Amino acid sequence: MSADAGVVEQVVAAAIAELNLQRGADEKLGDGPSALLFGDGGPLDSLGLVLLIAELENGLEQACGVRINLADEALLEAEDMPFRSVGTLQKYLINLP
Amino acid sequence: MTQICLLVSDFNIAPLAGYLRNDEELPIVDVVEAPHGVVEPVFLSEHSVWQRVPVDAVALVWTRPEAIAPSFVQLLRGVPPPADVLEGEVDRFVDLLLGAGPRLRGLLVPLWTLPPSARAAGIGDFKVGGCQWAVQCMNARLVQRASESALLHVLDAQTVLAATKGRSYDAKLWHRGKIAFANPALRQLVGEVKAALRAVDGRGKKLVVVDLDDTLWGGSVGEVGWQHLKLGGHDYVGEAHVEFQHALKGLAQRGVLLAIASRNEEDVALQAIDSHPEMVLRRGDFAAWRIGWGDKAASVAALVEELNIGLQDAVFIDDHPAERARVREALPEVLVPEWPADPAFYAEALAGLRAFDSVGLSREDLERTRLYADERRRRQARHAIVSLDDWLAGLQMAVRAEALDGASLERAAQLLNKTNQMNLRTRRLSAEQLAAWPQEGRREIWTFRVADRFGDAGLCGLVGLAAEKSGGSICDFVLSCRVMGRGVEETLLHFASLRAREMGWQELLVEGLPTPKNKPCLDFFARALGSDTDAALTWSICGEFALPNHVQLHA
Repeated sequence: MSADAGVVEQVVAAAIAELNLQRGADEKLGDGPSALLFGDGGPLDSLGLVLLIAELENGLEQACGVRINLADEALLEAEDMPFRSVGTLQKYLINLP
Repeated sequence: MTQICLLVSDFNIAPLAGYLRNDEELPIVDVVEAPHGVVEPVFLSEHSVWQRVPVDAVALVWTRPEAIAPSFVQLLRGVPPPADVLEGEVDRFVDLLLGAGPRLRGLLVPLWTLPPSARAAGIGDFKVGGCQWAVQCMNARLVQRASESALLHVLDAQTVLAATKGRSYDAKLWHRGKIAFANPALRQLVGEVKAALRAVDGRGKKLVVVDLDDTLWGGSVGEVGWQHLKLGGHDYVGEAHVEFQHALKGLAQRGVLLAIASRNEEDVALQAIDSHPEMVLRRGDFAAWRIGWGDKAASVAALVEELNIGLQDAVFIDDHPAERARVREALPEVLVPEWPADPAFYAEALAGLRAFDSVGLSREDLERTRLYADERRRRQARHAIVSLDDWLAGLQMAVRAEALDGASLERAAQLLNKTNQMNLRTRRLSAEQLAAWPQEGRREIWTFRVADRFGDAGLCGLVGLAAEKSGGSICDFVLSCRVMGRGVEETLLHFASLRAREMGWQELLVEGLPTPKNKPCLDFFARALGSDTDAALTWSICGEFALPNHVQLHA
């Protein structure tokens, strides 16, 4: 998959915006690169991560026409787990093979 | 005011809870989630979730067919059940839900649906024994049970899912999170739930004010004459306007009032309404009109005042953006929807408002336009008579008091839940709760039917009485605004004082509960029973309150 940075940023922002429609006022996710998502200190629980991943997969499929699977256990257990923050997520998606 | 909605589901419904909490459309909703996957235990036992659910809450119970019908599971494994077995399982499920009746104001149950993956035999799925046949059987039974219950209401999940244009299910969400419906479906359902909550609360809109030129018909009648309007005929614009008029007529037949606010010469516009052969709506379909060259916002305000309803009960539809902006700015309580430029979408836009939902139709709903036409004739008669006493005397008012019974329950509950202005304490109860209330202690609910020489206004009043330590009290005092100011309110008070005497109560206490809308009721009590200050909210009646001379009371 090749997605330019602009497309990835839009897809990630849209996914976060969708999740924020489901979250309380004091639980909103940030959309800046340093905003934490999942893992130590991140606001997402496992259900939130499932929802985020589904939004990202659907958004990338619509934007790039490619089906990808981000619900990969190895990905979640990796030292540089991409769902740590908005910035790490964007970087991972831009560099997807 | 925030409404509490209990969510019960056999699947993970957390995303819907989030959407509901954050949705800004009225009513604002707070959600209590039962643990997902738990349906029967919530309704079978003293589940802890009820500690967080107040008695005026509404429950949304959304399930998949296989979660409530064991025989449906068998069907999916190739063993189709008879229809009566499926229906019996639906009955058992509904009976289980209705057991929570005293705790709830309403139960919302979406129709059962199947995901695309359930497709097995295509057209064969709709034959006896097919999965779609089974779902249709179950839904038909559910609808039948809902039509017999004042508590149970069905949400049209099939239309909700269709509106997502194929994005209602997401297999990944199901397998990863046991979330049975995708976000587009959940967002659509929020709108349906809000509309249902408004309906349960009796907050459906009561009045549609429409423009004429390029709204009710195509073209400007003042310019082209009624003979050349685009209305019906072999023209898509004309056909679209006829379809829109049919949609409005359908609302009128369900008790929604129609009115006109138009910039035109009145005689020219009315001639078009009376004469055009393709008009679906005729003069008698409109409760009132303001046709002239004045400000549209002033026209809408005058119509609302004439029809004695609140601005928040009105919808204004106009093809012209500037007119919409003017009314929206001047009358922010009026719902002024954006309106499509193409008349082909008018009927769809009206339906999409979800503003006119109701839990059912009473006889008064079906006759409301006639009732307001009667009222217009009353006003005309009043203008011809100088003395108010003479006018009242000539009305031949008759009020019939009857104890609440099964025949009057539906209308009485509707009146209790819809009336805002002439409502002493604005207590809201479901029909079941209202029926149960007089069964405890020394309590009574009385209903009042009102008629005069212009027509029968139907069941318009309700009084609730209860024994207290040292006498009795008026717990409910409710009167439809369409009969206010004709001595009916004094008649209800007279009747309450008679009942107090018959019950042996020395004193009848009245305690008003102020709301943003019931000042007319509190003012009435202040006038009728006297008070030292405008702010007084408690009164008492000792002895008989006088019956107005012009009213015949039948009890």
